[in-house]
Amino acid sequence: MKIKKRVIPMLAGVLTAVMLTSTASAHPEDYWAGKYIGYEDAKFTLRISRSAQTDFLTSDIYRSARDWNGISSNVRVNVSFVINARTTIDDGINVYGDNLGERLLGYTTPYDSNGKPLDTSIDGLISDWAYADITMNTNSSVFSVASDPKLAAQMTFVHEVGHVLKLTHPFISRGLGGHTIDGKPVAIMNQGFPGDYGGAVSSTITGHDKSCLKAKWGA
Amino acid sequence: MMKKITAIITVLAACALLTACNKSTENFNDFDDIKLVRTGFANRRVFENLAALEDYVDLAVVGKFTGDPEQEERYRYNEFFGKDVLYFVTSTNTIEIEKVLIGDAEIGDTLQIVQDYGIVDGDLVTFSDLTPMQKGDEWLFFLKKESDSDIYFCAGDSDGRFPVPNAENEPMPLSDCPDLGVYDEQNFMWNTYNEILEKYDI
Repeated sequence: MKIKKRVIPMLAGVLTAVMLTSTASAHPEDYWAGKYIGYEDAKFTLRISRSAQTDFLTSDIYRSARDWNGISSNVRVNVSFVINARTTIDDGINVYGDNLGERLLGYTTPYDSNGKPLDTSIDGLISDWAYADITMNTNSSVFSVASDPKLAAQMTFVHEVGHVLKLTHPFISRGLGGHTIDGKPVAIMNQGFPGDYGGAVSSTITGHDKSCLKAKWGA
Repeated sequence: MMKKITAIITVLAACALLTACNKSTENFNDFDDIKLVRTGFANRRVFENLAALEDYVDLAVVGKFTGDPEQEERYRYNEFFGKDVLYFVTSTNTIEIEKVLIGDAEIGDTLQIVQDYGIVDGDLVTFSDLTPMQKGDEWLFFLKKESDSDIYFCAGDSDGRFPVPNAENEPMPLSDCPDLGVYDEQNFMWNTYNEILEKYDI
């Protein structure tokens, strides 16, 4: 009887520990090394240019980038809308819009100090970036085939801001169960429309995304 | 009045400069001395199996690239660097259809395909996981037509182009797995490809 009393709390403790590990473990492959040249943290304003503001890509979509706040004390994302061409903001990350056809929903480009796009497969993984910007696809037909086009656009923007925060597309989980579907972490940083891959592509920031952000920038 | 006109002309000229496009045709079938720059982390459509791919595409064909790609570079002014910077580059090429699996097309038809890469300052800058469109290369394409042009693209980028068994394609030294048509095997949809080989006689 005494043994049972001791074993049950112990088992509960072990199970809790396993669950916490499986829901909050960051995968080192899922975020880039390095920071931004001259900065130790990731506190910036997203400068939404006129080209990114359309009838479909509305301000509420861009304001959702603030969902990254409150996870790490070294991460703070503000959003500012460019009213006229003269508006400038120090430490601003530019967000542009362009017609990218129907191939891409949006993308983030990191640059070196000369303004050349960085190779994210090698240099970008290990080096400090000088700058990064986001391009959103203003061709709304690319989102129209999603079950919820607005949600797909919002998810895409939050996903791209995740790249600016140096999070990558998650690799296949290696033995870390609990927060995966068929071995794929449930994350907003997965590519696709919300709900793809049996729900592994999340429309909101998940425990996996948060754990990666904390591992990258600190709690 | 003159001041207003001058101001308008200045603004229009500035706008034109902000989004400048360069078009060029380059023959770059020799990739030995070219640096690969895989950039621009994107969100895009994904197709986790053959059924999803078949539902989405307009055409599925076996085809061969007939020429050298024509590329378009896009630049815009960036306040951080104080100059125009490259932000996107695309290449288009023509394929001649050799076999039709899905869609309204005939053997011998030609069509244009766009991929998001190009040669810029001697580097192969790519926003795509697919290897370049080399003249004479033969692939199996799952294609979607752009809604505002007659140009097609591979559905889901690397989700929509697969090897033709026994095809004799040009060497591609920039890829770890050139036979698969991607730079990195992680981007190759093996499950879908196996479904294709089982379903279609290629």
